[in-house]
Amino acid sequence: MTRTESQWDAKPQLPDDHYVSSSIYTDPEIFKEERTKIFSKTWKFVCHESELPEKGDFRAVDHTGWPLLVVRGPDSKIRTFFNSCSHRGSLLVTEPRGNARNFTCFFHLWSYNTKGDCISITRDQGYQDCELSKDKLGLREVRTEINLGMVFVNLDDEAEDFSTHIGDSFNDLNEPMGTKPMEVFHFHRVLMRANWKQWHETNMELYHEWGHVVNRTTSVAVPGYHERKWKIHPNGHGALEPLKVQYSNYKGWDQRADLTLAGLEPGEFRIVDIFPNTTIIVRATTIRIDTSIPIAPGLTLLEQRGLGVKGESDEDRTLRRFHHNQFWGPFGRNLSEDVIFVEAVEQANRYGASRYGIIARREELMSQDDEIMRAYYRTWGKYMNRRASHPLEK
Amino acid sequence: MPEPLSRLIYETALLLDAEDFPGFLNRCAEDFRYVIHAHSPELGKKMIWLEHDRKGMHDMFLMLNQHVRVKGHFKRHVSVYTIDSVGPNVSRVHTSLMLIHTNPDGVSSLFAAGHYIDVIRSEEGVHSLRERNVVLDTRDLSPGIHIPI
Repeated sequence: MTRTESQWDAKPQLPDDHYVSSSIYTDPEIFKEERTKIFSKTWKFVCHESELPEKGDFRAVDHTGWPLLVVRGPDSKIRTFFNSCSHRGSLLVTEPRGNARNFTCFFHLWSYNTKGDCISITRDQGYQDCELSKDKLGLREVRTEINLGMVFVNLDDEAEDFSTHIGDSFNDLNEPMGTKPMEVFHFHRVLMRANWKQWHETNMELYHEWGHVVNRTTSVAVPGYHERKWKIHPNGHGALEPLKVQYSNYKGWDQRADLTLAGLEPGEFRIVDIFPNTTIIVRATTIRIDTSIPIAPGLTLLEQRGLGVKGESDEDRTLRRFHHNQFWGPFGRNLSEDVIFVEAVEQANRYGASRYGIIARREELMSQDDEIMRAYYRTWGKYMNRRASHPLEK
Repeated sequence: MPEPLSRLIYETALLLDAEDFPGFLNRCAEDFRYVIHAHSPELGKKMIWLEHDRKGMHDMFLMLNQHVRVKGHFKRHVSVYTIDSVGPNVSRVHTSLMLIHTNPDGVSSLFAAGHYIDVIRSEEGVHSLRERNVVLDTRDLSPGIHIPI
């Protein structure tokens, strides 16, 4: 039975947290507030420690429009700063990675060491009248924590510490990521025409797996798929009980019985979602860290990293990379399909054709229960002081 | 024997454009290897994004119509730069590549740029691809792509 205009526009007859308004994906004011109320207040994954193996190594990253500089100092400690000269704000570093003993701004040649201290100002006698000196002009340091090799930052000096924030959400990752040092061997980005939350939803609601032939054949059809339970953390994170995926059900694929990461059964799949927009997925032999950089309400830059064991043999790395590329990467059988799905939703959301998203599945916290999404949007609501179901009403 | 080798490169481009994947594989040797390479300035490392032998390519092609794919079609603009003999009956061919995508609305855009480094075996007048290395300059491939470049 079709619906009239007023029926289509009417709020769903569901509890408040069982649906979201499409405005949360499209409204520019909401997007602007998300930057200040969520992204400047929460812990955010920026890179993996293996991207900074040596003292002086640095990575320039984008944290929702704030340019950051992550650097391993002379004491081997990883620190993060705003990638912005204290003088007139120029980007200090304009390459994505490198190694430096000091950073010298190319604009007026002010210099900083890799601990963020200002060490040199050109013609500093010009500042004597106003008593401005190097010791007062260090870089803006950003709180940095490393857990299982993943580097997280928080722009808010008053936010709760990382351990409290994450709680036990990383438990399922401790063995596969913490037993041997890991390293990133794959990196790629996708400029996606959709909202950052719509992408993160693909890592929470698993019933879209019906849309992927690889997931239908290797996972959804497998015994135990629907019986896994979500564990949901009050801070909006979640982890799903493992599943033994039958990779060999997809034509030409092996079962991933060799090179299984520590603590896993052959073929084992694990997923951990971290609020607001990072997911770590383990597929038996390889790991993907999925995060995003929101650019505009309907534009997001996805960042995808593939991980293997640091220092492993070329032969092992070839197989692990092969497994990674089967699912992920730009030629993987699965990842691009998620982008296509989400961009199709954005096209209907963009000018309000689609008014609401239903997140009303209740399956006793089993794998396709929407409680993981409802918990996520309740957390979103706390940060934003809005309800995801009618966000334009405060 | 430059002309037949160039012709092989152009024919494979036409076959891939037409998504005649059996036709493409018929131009490949039994020990064919296909690899897509890219370089990450973020990692400072080379990456491999796809790697298959002949059977792997065959199996991948068989599953294509079950996948959710980018709509529209692709056109490969290829220009053979150099052909060098690297052994008895074996040549290496360096070809420039531009992959153009045209969406269902008829809007065309450059999807990827790079080059092919191919190894061709020539036996008794028959030329076949023994190896294709796609070296991509482009690293943002929109959602991604299910078919070979």
